[in-house]
Amino acid sequence: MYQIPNLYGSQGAMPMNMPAFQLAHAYVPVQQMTCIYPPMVGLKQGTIFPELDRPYGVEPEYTVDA
Amino acid sequence: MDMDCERAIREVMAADFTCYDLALYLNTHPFDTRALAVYYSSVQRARSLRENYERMCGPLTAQASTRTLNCWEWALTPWPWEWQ
Repeated sequence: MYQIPNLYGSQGAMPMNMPAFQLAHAYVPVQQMTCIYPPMVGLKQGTIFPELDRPYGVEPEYTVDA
Repeated sequence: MDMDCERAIREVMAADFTCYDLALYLNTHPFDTRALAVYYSSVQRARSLRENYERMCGPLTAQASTRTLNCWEWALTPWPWEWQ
């Protein structure tokens, strides 16, 4: 059974006074810039935001075996 | 292209990448003043790195090819994508 990922992961997201999740709605936590990678690291990782640097397949709970 | 130019162009690319990513963030966070400050300094850094590259290795864009009026530098120096 596909396990529903916890959208508010460990780093969590800005607490929004969210209504209970509605079916067929998409919810995207708002990003809050904290720190950014140095330029060379950002270029290599494909993002300067550590919170967005999530290559597929690294976090098991967000990886569906092909 | 010699080593210094290759290192210099990588610096320009990385600096530009930071500016692009910050600009995308600012599109959705137009009042994030801290991000604006970081963007401001990133753009300045990218500009000085580009000027540094162009002084050493030649123009990165045709429009930057204005250092000399004797010849059309843009076509006479290696183009930025002409790597070893």
